[in-house]
Amino acid sequence: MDGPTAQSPLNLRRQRDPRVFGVDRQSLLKAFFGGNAIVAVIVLLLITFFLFREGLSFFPQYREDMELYRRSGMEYASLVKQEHDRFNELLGQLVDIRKRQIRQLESEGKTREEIAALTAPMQAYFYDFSDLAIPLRDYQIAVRDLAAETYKQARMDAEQHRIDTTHTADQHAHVIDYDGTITQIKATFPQLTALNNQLESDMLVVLRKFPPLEDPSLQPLVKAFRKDAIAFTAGLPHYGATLAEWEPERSVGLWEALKTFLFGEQWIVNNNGHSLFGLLPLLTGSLLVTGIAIVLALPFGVGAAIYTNQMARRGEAGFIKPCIEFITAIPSVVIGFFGIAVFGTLVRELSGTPWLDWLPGFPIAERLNAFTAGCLLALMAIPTIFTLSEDALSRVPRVYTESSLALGATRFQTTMRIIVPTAVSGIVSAVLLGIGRVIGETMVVLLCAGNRIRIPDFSEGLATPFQPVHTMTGIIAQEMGEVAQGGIHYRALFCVGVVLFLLTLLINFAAQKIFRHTRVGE
Amino acid sequence: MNPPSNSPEKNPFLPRPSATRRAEKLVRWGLRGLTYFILVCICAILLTIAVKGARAVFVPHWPFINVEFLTQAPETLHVFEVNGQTYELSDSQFRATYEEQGLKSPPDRTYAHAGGGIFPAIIGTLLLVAGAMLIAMLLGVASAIFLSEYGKRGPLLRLIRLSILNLAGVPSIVYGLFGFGLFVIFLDWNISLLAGWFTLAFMVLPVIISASEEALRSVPTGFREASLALGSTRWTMIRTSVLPYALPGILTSSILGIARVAGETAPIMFTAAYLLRDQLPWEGLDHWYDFFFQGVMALPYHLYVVSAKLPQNAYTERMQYGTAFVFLAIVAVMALTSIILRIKIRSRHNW
Amino acid sequence: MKRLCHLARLRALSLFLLGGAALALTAGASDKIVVKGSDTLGAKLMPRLKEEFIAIKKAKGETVTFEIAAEGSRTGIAAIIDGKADLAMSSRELQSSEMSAARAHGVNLKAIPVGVDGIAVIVNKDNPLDGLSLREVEMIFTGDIDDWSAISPVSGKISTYTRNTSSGTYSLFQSLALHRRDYSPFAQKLAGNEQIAAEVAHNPRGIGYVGLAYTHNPGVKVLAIDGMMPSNESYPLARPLYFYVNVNEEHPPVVQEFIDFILSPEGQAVVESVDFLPASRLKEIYPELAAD
Repeated sequence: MDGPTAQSPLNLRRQRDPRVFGVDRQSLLKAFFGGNAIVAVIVLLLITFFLFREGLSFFPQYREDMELYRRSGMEYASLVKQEHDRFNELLGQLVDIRKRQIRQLESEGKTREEIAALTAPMQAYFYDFSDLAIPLRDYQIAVRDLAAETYKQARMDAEQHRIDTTHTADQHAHVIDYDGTITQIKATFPQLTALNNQLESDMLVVLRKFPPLEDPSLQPLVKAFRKDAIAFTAGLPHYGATLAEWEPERSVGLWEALKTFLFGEQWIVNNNGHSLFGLLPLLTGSLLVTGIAIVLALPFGVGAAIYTNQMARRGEAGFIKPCIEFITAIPSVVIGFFGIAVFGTLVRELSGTPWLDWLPGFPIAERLNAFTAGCLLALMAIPTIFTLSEDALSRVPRVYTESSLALGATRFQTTMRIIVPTAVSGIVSAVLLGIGRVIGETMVVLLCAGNRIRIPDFSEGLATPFQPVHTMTGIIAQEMGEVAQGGIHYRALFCVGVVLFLLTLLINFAAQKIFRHTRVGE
Repeated sequence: MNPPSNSPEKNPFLPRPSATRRAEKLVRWGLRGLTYFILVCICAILLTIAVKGARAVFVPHWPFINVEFLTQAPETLHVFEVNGQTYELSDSQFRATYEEQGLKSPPDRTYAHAGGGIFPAIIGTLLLVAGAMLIAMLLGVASAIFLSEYGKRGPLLRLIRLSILNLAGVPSIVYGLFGFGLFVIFLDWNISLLAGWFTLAFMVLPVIISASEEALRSVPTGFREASLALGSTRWTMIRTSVLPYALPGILTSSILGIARVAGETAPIMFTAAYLLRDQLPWEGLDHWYDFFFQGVMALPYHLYVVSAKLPQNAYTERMQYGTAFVFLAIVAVMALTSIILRIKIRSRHNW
Repeated sequence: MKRLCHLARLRALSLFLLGGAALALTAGASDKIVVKGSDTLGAKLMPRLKEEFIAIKKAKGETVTFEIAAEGSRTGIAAIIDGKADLAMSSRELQSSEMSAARAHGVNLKAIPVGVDGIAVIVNKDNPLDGLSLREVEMIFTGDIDDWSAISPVSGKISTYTRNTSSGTYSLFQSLALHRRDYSPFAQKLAGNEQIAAEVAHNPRGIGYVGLAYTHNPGVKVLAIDGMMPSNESYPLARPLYFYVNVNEEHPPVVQEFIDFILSPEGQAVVESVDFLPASRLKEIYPELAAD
């Protein structure tokens, strides 16, 4: 471009610069680079903006939906469901008694046929008892169906409204008869009262027929079951009262929508009715998987960094480093595939071996669970933690090492008491970045975490990791393909995306802050 | 590290064995064990995939490479028994034999996607990587040059740099979500190559900008000052005294970016990838611009499909491990290039 | 409609392609059919139909190509409403929200029943049960009970496996077996029929539901529901399988040919070869459907 004349001392290049529209080339170039930088920044801003726009508009829409849900009377069904759920808890107690009975017989070496014969009275009792709930369930379904039509109509109207805003509202202004539906539902309340009365008397009858159990150790459970069942019957009028007091006209606030999203314990996509979008099961799932991964990756990553940086020979370190860095290059879907094809089965089979019985949660029931995913994610977090910790360790000034050695400390003492504590902020930020990497990982959790949308049952203690979970990244990947644009489900997934975005941003920011905060010797 | 194995009596300067020493030794061995355990894990994964995948990709006779697997599209696999022998044939082969031998009954078992090869997926992945990297490099390197050479140091630049650095850590699925919302739905590009390119490009953009900028800034200021002092303009200075020295660093980062682009599944799941597509991207286009608006098959998505939607058995294994192996090989070659390049450059430029 | 899309895209393209490699590609156009939707149909039946149809066309010296995406019924119907697919595979009927969306877009969807599928409830082969009542199925999948000891002589937590929410099977099973009650939060949502069959085959405490085509997996056992096996005509969990087509849009003739092929005896033989029942059985199972 400049040619060989550039060497001439008298060449005043500025004058010979070609000008385009009165702008010289230097400015043009600067404008080009600047333009690119602006485009890049704009694009990245756009991502953030778009994400937040779609994500945050979830809340008004969800609020509207919740309001429709309430006004159309669908919520009554969910109130009845509470009574049903309480009944199911009783059922659970009953199942628990039978479970212990079966376990007892199994340990006595009885065959399945014998067990079936011996527990037949209990089995029959179970059916008798569970059948008590059928009228209740039917009532719940009836109420729901009464309201469902109105709810669907209202949803469709809202949908229509959203799709073509160009049309005037009166074009589809067939008025939705909320009041009529509510009146219809309210007319069924005496049914519930009658039903509850019936349930009470029936249950008392059935309770008396409890089959005699030989095993005395089960008696306390039976007693507790009886007591709870009687307490349940005593509480029955309460459900009817709640229903009667319920105000379907009450409007739903934005705050309520926000609350149900952030602290909601259920994420239920019901294509046939009302969907619930609660973040908590996904968030806890993500955190559980991440926790497992970090607990596993931390000793390995940091340990390997200390070993490589402080103890390994030069050649050995030169071999270890690229090997561990290479893990970054393995695509996550390959690791996920390995998990589903080999590792999941391996872990379960290993858990089935008798001499490992003492471990909590063993043998594992589910092949795909948080632990499987966590192990694989740990492997993916190791290179991040390793590389950055190693960097942090090698940044510790030589003077520190030399002074320590000069004072008579052994190499090992120097490493553990001087170098590692000095580098600790770097290591912490490495671990944080590792967390950021793990929490955003999609394919491994989608394939290996088991996809159960439920808050893990932490009461199981150390066996908790072996439960299947679903994660925020997983839900987006699994459900995004199906959603209608602009629909509430679509927005809900964007909202999860926003949470994920903010979470990783926070983690990265914290990592950088910590990293900058305590730099030594530079 | 270990002293020569003289006994302590002969050499009085050797440390005497003590409880502390033994503990130290134990910890040292523990750490070594941890380190090598990681390596063993990687080896186990890689070997499993390589050994089982090699069976799909290589054959024991000439030409030693399974040409069908690398050049055909996925097909249904037919498994059937004739005279007590089990045969596995992909659909096109099966049809040929079918007609030849006049077989009548359809096969016992079929496994969709388990036969044939993965050629369209390989092509799709290469296309996605090429386009995305073109966009990302163009934008990324130019932005980095501006930020490092032209931009005025100040709070604004720091803010931009910080936000770019932070965006580099945002999960890929979030970029996928964004790409799906903006390109596929809002701009109505449908599931297409173009949507995939931009999604992937934006995903690696922060990484490329920050890595390139780092490479540019690691060129000593003296180089710039010397050039400017000799009377060169800013652009000449950048062109002759900065870029040549920063280029290796930029290239390394970009190759690493390629590995990331090639390896990610989440962003292309809803923006570019098809489950099955008969035609290769350049076939059957009505207009030249249709090229950009077609979805493609891609290796990572294909691997997801065959691992999540196919059963694990002896017949499907070939496709599953074969895809994983080829995919891993492609990405690994890229990553290894970048790692080796980085090590070489690190030792070369030491100013 | 497609033309309009092209225009809009062209504008977007010129906006976004910075350099833009002008690829002058003038390949001969061949017929293309874009099919999207249900995994139940898409994973096994559709590839087989495709291969068979291509073979028939090839014999006539014509070429036809396919693009298939199978992520769930809902995706297919959404795609056809947006004009992004020629055919939508669905393992359920249209939902009201989809109907309204179709109306809003001026799309008139016609359902073409291509076969009948039974939803089989499967358990591990080690499970002592041979059958369940519909009520028990409901209790298991809604989470009313969560332990096998409630209904069988073995104990252990029930692992329920369901399809994910976009699946037509997911919605249909909910209507047919659960009285549209919500699934249990314990249910694990898996990507496809095969994965459910594989998990159940590996897990002695597992239960799940799959299409009939997936019941041959070694290690699983099909349960009789209310005493009936899926091949029984009054099996309660049967559902028709559809292809949807937008009759308001002009399609290349090959689309109609493909539909005709599916409904022809050859096509129906393919349907049967992947363990679905032929569409002609629809009359027996759903008399009210055959009336229209």
